[in-house]
Amino acid sequence: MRTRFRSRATLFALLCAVPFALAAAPPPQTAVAEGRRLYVAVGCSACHGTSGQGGGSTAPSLAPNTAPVEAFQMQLRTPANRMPRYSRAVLSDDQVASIVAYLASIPPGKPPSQIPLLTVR
Amino acid sequence: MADRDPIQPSRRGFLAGAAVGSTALLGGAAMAQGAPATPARAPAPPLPSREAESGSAPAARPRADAVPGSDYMVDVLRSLEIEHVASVTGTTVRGLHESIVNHGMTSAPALDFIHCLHEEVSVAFCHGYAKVEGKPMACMMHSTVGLQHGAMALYNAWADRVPLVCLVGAHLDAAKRANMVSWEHAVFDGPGLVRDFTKWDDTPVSLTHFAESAARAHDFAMTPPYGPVVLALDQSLQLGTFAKSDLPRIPRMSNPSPPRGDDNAVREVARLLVAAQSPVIVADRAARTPAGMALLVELAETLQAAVVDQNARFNFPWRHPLNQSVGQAAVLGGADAILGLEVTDFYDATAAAAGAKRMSISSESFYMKSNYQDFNRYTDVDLALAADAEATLPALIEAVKRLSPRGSARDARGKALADAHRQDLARSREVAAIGWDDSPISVPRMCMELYGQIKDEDWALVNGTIFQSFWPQKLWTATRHHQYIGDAGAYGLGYLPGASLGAALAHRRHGRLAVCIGGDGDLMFTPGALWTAAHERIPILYVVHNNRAYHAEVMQVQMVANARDRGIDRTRIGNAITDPDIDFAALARSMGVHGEGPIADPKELGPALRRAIEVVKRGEPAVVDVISQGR
Repeated sequence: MRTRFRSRATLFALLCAVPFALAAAPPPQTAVAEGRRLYVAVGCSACHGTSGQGGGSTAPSLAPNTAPVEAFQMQLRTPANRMPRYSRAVLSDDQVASIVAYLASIPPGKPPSQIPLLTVR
Repeated sequence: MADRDPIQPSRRGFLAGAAVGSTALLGGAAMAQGAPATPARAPAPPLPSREAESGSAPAARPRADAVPGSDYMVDVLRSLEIEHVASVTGTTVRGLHESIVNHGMTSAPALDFIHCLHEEVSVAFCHGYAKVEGKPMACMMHSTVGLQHGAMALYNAWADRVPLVCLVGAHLDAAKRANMVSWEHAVFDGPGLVRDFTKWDDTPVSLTHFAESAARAHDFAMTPPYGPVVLALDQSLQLGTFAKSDLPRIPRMSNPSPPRGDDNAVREVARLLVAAQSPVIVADRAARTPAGMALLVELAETLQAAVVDQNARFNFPWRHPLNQSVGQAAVLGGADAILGLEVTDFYDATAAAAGAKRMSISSESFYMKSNYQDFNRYTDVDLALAADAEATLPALIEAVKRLSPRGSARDARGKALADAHRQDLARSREVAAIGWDDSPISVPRMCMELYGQIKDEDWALVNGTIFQSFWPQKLWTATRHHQYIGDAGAYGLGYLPGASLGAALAHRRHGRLAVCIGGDGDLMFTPGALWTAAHERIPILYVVHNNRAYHAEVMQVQMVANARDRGIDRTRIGNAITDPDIDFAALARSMGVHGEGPIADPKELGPALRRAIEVVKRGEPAVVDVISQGR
């Protein structure tokens, strides 16, 4: 079982390595807005943070450098590790695409060097 | 309130006043006339004698040289260097209660009474105190219902290997139980309720028995693995009076030395560590004292070995180059020798290192029980030392040094680990920057706003940080053992409000600034602790990590719902703490504690924390309610 997860996680990581810009055209703003709504409503933000920053050891970051929608589909339908499974019955492919559109629209944060509190020792 | 005491009703014995018999009324009146003069500061009602308590006879005037049994108990507790008793009072401990306030608190060395509003708080108070002060304090509670309230907190202390002395009332003699309440509060083997998760207990039937059992209990509590102990104190002993000349000798505290590892086994551990290419030290409850942390640093630096701190104690400085806790998956996965020091779950810690030599030094090998399963999976190890890790470290360091582990490979390993630590810190800062200005406030932002306010103080963080995803360990600089004390042990909710106060009380005498970050769900289990903080003037900054939910359970129920294709729409039912939202600042203010918030705008957090810290520096508690993300 652990081996299977490792393989799936590896595949997910490979898919994530494909830059989003190559996988899809810029999404319409309606999709971004709907994706933002869904991202909170279906519970993504509970573990991954409201800006997709991740939840420490609990959940990985989803933005910036958002993975392509195919990687999300795979992870949601047959998740590796402790991720809850989201079947098409509870989250359609279009809804997943909207969530990915929202995540991809999140601008990168400031560099830590420009945040005084992140430079204190 | 006394089961037969007509003077004043208590919260639990309110029925007793109606049920009490005329004989007891007579006894109380007789005592009132015959009571000796009390000190000016103690306008307490007169104490019935043992006979009056039983209702069998009016109380006799105490002899001039008579000593209450519970005064002697106070002296025994003082001889064990116990300085505080945290307590919710109850009829079955009224004798000792009176002795603490009129004898313990008015003569040196002082035995102080900490007024709590829930037994769980009183036990947790001892829990936090012991982890800072390195010695036990006592909690005191009613028999039956009191101990039942305190039981969960005792389990936390047990699982966290923490010493404390739990004093519980007892009403053994059935002939002296006056009414239905005293019967309902009587139990023949009270400590049996918690025997599965306490180290030792006794129910003494004489003062000599009490004195020896108290000393023995203290010894057991303070012999690694530390743990809670229970003494059930019969009312006859507490309320009885004894001629001074008849009082038994108070035994000397023996302070047993902790068990050290066998010399041959220690040498073999040293050999395996020095021979390894990638040795890793995993520490969980290893550093009991500041000396333990210094020893671990010395061992790691001598070996240039990676250290993974599992954070049950402050084992290793957070910014030490050899600290690989953030990148532990990488170092454990590549390890060829792993030394576990007082590791609770060594199975999980070593799961990724299939071919590594495994060595364990743990005092848990000496003492464990079977019913509650806090001992985790059985782990295959190459060498297991049944010994206290901290006590064994000096011999291990000496053995390692004798093998002269110097060389270019060792130095290169140290440099690579230092580089990895720097990279982990940089990555953590990058992740923390994402969503920095979000509302609800991100957890790293909350942690760093707090750190920004305290970094130049002698601060001490008195909460475990698992629910803050260990952001303080990832981003803060902490070098001293007292700056972190780990978590609850068994993750029993309601721990932090009491434990943080106990820790803060211990820090107060050292002039340290005690701060904590605690969940909203946890605080709502034992909110009465805030009153104790105000009442006892305990300076602490309590930051409420208010994600308005039992967040861990949100995630868990979501997993189940999605696995069943039902969606998560309804999974916040029973998890979310909303509708209505709780105003923790108002809650704090209602109990006399300075309250700030709710704060959802991250720009407002720094100033609110600054204001709260000013209050804490004046010697008072303060609460800052932060509307924050999950983890």
